[in-house]
Amino acid sequence: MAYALPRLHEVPGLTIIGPDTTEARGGTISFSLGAIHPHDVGQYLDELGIAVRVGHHCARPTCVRFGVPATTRASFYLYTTEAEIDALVEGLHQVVRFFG
Amino acid sequence: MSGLFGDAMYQEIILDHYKHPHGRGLRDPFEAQVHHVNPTCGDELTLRVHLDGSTVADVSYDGAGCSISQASASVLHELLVGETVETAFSTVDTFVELLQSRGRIEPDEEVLDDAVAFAGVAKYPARVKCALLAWMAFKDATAQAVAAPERTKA
Repeated sequence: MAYALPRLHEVPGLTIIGPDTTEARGGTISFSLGAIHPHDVGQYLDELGIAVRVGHHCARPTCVRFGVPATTRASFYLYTTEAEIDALVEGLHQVVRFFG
Repeated sequence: MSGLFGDAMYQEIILDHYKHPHGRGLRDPFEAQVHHVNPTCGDELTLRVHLDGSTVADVSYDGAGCSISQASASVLHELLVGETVETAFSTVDTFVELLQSRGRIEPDEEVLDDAVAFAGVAKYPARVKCALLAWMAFKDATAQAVAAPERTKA
């Protein structure tokens, strides 16, 4: 998470939902990517072989609270490598170029 | 990239309609307005139909959602405005048939024009409803407009 949070901030237009630091934060990061709909983000990443969850995450009121139609959510665990996070960030840059 | 957005040509058509939508914005006059939502993904669309006699004089819309749903509304506007209600409904049926074909139907460009670009979407069951949102809204609104008593006669 300490590696992923600042790397995700490098993507233009990316807004992280929730804390910006590793404090009081679980192993997932939900974010929005400008006006690009999460389903478009997810579809594009999927075709690059990157799995994320998109949508309301069974928490539509949370999406309403943050004023977003849905979010994209990446999950991390002990076995997640920095290279995988790099691939995600590179994929997100491609999404921005494709839909931007 | 292949997949949802199909080959390069289709991809270009969908992205172009998404970034530069045709006929977007709600306009007067209109005989019927509907608001359709895909609750599972949050795509929303408000759509108005204006008839002049038996001709679809205008389809105006506004909404928020993914590239597929937004581009599809733009293509619908291009394709159906100026047609008779009968022809428009027939085109809607052809489009619905294509989207429900799971990719097994070769699209008829004579009838569907830019809408053939959504042939690739038919292979993604989760996204079919995104492409159909505007078309179902149009069918709903037009059926209401035809029935509206205060409708302007040609």
